[in-house]
Amino acid sequence: MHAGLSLQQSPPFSVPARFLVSAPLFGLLAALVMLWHGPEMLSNRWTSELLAVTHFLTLGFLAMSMLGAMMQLMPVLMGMMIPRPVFFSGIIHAALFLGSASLGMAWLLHINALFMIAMASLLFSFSMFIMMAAERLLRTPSRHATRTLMLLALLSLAITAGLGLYLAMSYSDAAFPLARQLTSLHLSWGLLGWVGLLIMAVAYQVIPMFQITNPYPLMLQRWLGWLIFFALITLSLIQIWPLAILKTISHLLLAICLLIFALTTFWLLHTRRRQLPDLTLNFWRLAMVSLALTALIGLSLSVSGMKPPALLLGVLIIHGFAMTTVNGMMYKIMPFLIWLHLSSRNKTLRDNDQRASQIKVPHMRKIIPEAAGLWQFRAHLASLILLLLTALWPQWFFYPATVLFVIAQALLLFNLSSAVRFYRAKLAELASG
Amino acid sequence: MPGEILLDVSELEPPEPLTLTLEAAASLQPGQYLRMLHRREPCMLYGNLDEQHFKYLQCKGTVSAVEVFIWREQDQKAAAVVQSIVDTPI
Repeated sequence: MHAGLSLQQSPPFSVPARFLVSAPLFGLLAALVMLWHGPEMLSNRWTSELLAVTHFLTLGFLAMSMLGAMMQLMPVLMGMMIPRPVFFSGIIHAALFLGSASLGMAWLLHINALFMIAMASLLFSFSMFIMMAAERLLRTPSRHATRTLMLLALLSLAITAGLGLYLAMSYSDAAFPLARQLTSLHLSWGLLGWVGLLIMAVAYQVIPMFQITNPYPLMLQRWLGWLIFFALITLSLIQIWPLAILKTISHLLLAICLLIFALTTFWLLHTRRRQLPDLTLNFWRLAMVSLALTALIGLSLSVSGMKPPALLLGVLIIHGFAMTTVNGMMYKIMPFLIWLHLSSRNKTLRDNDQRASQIKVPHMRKIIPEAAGLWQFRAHLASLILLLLTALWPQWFFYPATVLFVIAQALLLFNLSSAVRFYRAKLAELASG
Repeated sequence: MPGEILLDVSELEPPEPLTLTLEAAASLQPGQYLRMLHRREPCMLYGNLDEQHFKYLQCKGTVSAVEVFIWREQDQKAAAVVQSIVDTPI
């Protein structure tokens, strides 16, 4: 007996796939830029090379994959229909690709005009996406915490992009004052608001779903995201009323919330009902260890009043927490998409009485071989450890860390591209009858 | 219960709960209904059941968090049995 499965609200394969495959291209680009420029680029947090690499990762890798994942998850998890998905995803993706590449290149090549291109492209891409996604989320009947958190994440993205545009203006126009004091705020809204809240929103659904765990406690689902958002608002108000105590409280609140999320996730994964090995589980665990470490360092800094080790925290939260989570999720999303679209094609053939033309749809776990994913995870883990050591002793660990980072991103690109090639081959098989 | 087909998908990873439920629904005989046990509200199931002319009813489970009763649209006998089960206080 065949399962008659239709796509329902799920958008065409190309909609999320173009974003997911583009992400490791930027990861690879960032790693190659590091390899080219050497450890001198880490001499301080304001070098053009470091700014370029950071934005290749946060825009090109993270925002790229998160927008793609949202395009797929919003319809599947919340039953929303995305209007004209191929058209909208095409222009949003093209503008984000161009914006991310030109922003990094503007810093690397010191060409002011590229900042203008980047600002225009990113403004277009993000505003299109935010308007489309927010409108759909506000209309959906779902009242799950995921919906609220996605809306807060979108609002955080709008604030991050607004601050980023303001900061970029000073690079494109020498007459514009450089407001470096806003950089920390831009980072906080981007990494804790946009990235952090979105990962929480998705984790509340996909961890119980794919890892067969108990659901997150309802109280936590309802309030944790709001507390993070509130702490970020307070941090922003400090720019107007610089009260030291308010800053300390906001930092403490953020660190405690992140620690609670990391420990709860870790506990849920530890007590999962089916104790089977799973590739994505490794990524989730690593991401939560990184998040807990970030929170613990944040807590100790808030209490002691010491200066934050910017590079170490940056590596922990961007590579250790955010990229690890997204990387792991890709190994669930991509095979699921391929399985879903091939199963749906089979259903169409059965409905049209063409049963003989059906193709064999492999198990999800076979679409990207477990061993290939595991090797990529090992390279990713090793690159994280060495990058953390690089933050402390750059002259010793920079090159080994960067080489492993290149390998990890190249393997991810290879694994995702192989999955797409596999899908295309199956489609060709169908077309040839 | 003679007309009941019990399917527990509460410890399965997606997409197995979806595919197994649709397969089990497709094999329902007249008078039979499917009682699906799940740990959460199912994803993508109801749209597929609508398309394939099945009726369904989701309620809070006693064994698992969620129970879904599924029967064929034209099957009045199965519909009546499901209604009596759902109406009976636990």
